[in-house]
Amino acid sequence: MSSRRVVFNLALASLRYRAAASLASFVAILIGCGLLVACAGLFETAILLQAQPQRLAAAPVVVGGSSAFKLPDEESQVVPYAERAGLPADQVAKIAAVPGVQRVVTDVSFPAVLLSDGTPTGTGTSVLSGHGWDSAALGGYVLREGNQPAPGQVVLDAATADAAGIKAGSNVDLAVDGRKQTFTVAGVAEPGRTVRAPAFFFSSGDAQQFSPHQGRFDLAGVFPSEGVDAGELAARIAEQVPGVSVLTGDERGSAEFLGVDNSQLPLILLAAVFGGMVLVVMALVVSATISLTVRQRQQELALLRATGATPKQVHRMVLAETMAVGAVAAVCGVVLGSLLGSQIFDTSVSLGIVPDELVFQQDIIAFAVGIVATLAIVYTAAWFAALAAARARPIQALAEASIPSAKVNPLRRTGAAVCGIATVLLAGTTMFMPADTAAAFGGPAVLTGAIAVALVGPEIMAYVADRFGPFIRRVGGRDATLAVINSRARAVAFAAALTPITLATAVALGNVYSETTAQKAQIAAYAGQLQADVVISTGSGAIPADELQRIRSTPGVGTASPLVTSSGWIEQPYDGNGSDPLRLMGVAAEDQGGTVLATAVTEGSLKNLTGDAVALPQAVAENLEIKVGSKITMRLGDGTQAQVNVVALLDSPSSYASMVLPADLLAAHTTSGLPAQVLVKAAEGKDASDLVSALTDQLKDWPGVSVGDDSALLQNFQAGADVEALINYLLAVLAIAYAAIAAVNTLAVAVLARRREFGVQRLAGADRRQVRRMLFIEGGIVAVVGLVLGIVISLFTVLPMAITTGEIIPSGPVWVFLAVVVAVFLIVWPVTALAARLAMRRSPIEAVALPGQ
Amino acid sequence: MPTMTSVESPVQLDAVHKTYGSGDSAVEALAGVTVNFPAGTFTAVMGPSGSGKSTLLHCAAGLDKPTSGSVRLAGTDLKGKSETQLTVLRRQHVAFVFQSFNLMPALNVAQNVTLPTLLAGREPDQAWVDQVIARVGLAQRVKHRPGELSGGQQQRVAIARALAGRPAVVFADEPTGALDTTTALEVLNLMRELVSAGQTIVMVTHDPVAASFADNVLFLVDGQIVTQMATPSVEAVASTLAHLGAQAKQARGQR
Repeated sequence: MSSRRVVFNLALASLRYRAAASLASFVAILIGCGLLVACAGLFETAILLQAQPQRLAAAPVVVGGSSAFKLPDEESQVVPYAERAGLPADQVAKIAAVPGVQRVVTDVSFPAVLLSDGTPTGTGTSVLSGHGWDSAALGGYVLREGNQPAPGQVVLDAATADAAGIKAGSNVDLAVDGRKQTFTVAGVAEPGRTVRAPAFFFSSGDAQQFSPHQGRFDLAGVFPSEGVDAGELAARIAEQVPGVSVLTGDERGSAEFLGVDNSQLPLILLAAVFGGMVLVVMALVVSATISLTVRQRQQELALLRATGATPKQVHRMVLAETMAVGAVAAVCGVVLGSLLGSQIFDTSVSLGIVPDELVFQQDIIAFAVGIVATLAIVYTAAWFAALAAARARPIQALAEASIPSAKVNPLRRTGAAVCGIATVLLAGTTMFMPADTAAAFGGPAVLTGAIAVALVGPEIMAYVADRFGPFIRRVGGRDATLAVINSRARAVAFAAALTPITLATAVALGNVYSETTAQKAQIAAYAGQLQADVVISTGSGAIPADELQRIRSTPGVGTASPLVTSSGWIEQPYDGNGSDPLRLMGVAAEDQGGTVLATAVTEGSLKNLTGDAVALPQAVAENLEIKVGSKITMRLGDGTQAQVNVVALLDSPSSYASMVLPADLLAAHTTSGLPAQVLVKAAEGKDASDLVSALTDQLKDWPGVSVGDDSALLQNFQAGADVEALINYLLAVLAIAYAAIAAVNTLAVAVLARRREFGVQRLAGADRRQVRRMLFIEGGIVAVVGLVLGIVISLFTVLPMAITTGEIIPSGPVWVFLAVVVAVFLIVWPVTALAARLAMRRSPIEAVALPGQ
Repeated sequence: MPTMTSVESPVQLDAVHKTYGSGDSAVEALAGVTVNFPAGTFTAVMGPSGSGKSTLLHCAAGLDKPTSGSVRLAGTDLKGKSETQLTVLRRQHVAFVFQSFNLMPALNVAQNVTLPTLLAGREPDQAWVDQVIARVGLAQRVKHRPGELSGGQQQRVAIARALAGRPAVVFADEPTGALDTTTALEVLNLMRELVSAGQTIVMVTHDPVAASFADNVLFLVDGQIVTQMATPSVEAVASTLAHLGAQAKQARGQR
């Protein structure tokens, strides 16, 4: 038998003999692999980006407007548009002219909602359910009863009709473009495949009238001629008609469901950042666990060396043990990963980061990636940690297992210094970044800080014991004396528990509070730019112009403005920062009642904000050297270029500032085409609550309208839907979980190994209670030091975030901080108590005869 | 693996010094030891506690590196050898029996006995292994783990392991220290027989009875060899030890 085989068999024998000790590694690797498989699944989902088309399923080729903005300075990088880009009529003609095209069916979508007793049924994106009857062919809709719609008539889809109990021939009330209208049901149609969203088909004349984007179509479905392959035709169209996006197969879903393209980047970000953190934390936990077991088995490993094992053979044995555990844990982790993956994905959907229709993909590739990544990182961590085993000198087999000194070797001290500097640098640079990028850079700062603590942990414990020893003794009483001495003498063992606690505290506090601070700033910036006494929103998808007129003419109204939000770019002049689109806000120009915009105007006037105009934040204008009166080229939400006059400069907040455009201009370039919110300021001397009731009264006939005070402004603003928020909260939970595993393992082993010492203590006169009290104080020292260090490190992420968003003082719920503190003590004390009980099971005389320290 | 048949001693120490620690806490364990252990002999090393007996054994076996002086093991100078090279050398020529904690707790008796051979990548001579295990009287317990054996039985397994590899030299540190009288005598008789068959054994002991089985006794005091005795009897060894002790006491009193 080769010596390699022998070493491997030795490893297995050791594992079998000492199965319980591998439990911590097993659990850590299991969870780590599960999380990695979940991340791989998210990554795969993002890459494949499959959303099966429903309403467009019958058209083999779907053509839409250009879907993404090609950055002016970088050829390859594209950023998806926030709104649906349209197809002008002449491009549709060009598509029809491509050889191999049998038929082109155009499609428009406009707000249409079924009303029952005057209230809209259905919410969200399914509001855009109005189409022309021609587009029924795109989904393979077939009339189940009745006829095609004539003007004034509508055809319902079967699901909606059945749910509401409507049959052909009856009348229905619909809110079309926000206006209540009555239509006769001409027929009921059944789609070729299940379509979740409702569909209301109108005559082509009516549809053209209702469509908010005149002269433009949303999509075109292309049917190939006999014998023409859809894929080939798609390629041909892409060649011959520039500036359109041509989709086939499952890609067509991204044309039907907006938000699919936009979710690619957030998903990739989530998978990458979270996955990266999992790898690092898993590596740290595995190294810590191996170092601990190696130290425990010092005598046995030294004996192995004395028996004839070379350092390399001992190294290989420890490595083989870890890999054997790792392999089994990784395979089990795959099962966990498939559960976790769909769980995290569902959470993303419910938070609005990802549309419902996106299909979560997690197949053999994701599993393989997860397992390979896990095994690779475990191997690397174990390789380095096992070096200590190889260094065991044979003579140590005879010596009493000695207590290592607190001094760390100079290499580690240098490493810690490097990490410390890295932390400070990262914190420093994030202070000068825009808030969105700052969040991505903040995470690594806590990691480098925690690694620095891990490297010089023993010296920190020794320092604390020296410096704060007298204080602890005074506070703790008699039993504290030994506790202080122990924390100095056994600094290495204490440091092993210190590291996971510090890491957990730093990551949890750092990520949660930088996230809450950023969110608060984001919300404040958004709300701070607007002032309104009354906010009118609608569930019917749009507030039409005559409703706005009605609002304006209500007595007591000072000024009323529709509110539109979108995102876009300033293309000329270009600041090179295209990967992050700018926030666009659309409001009505200032009139005699004032304006709903709260930001002060530093130059120019908002009265001129009509037609093709824009008001820029002063900082943006200065950065691009734009003056009031100059013309700039902007690219709006749906990809249209617009030449706009700069009519005013605004004193906007430094982060999350919006470019302000006329509401009409901006609304025309959004997917729905119409504003869904109106802000109202009361006239001089008028009471806000009176106005609310007055408007509620005025608008009672309009479908789905809700009138609220200014608190309603934030309800629609989904700051919490940020993918960064999800990442940060997930990381906080992950950190606490891992710390629990590592710290519990370390503490339990450390306490149990001191059986002999407790026996000696008890022989010297201490009773069990006193020994336990000493252990609690020791645990308290580790917990407090870990918490303090963790808080300090977390400040390196939180404070820069606070400063960059202009808040200065970080904000967030207090309960999170308290929960972390409680969690740390819950990790430390119960384990210590249980381990102490086990360690002092025997009588002192028996305990003293045992091997160990 | 053939034992050394040449007349050259398998272990040669020349002016070996060994100091532990540094500065104020430095301890000189060996203060210049020069000795040869001839092949096929049974040598006992004796002396008061702290005289450096164990240290001498460790340096001779290549388990520890001397501060100065040279050690030749099976004709090879150990100076400047890396840990791996020392291990390989030890595997081929040396076996060590510690006072306690000799066995890998995870392996059974048979596996423990063949471990050094297997680590060297060689096939164990099963017939010889069985014979050796039978000689130490543990043929019935081959599948048991150390945790299931008594202290004396564990020691016997350690000795079996030392012999199974047929090394040039067997170093034993107080091999009978933890054994009861009967077992101790059995073990010593076994060692005597093997020496007669050509094995070289170096044993540290403080038991005059054990020393009486040896061909030669070395007496160490404060890291130096003060006297030697050939063909020792129990009484002669005991009286030499007492004499050395009395000398030390007198030296103390005079200061």
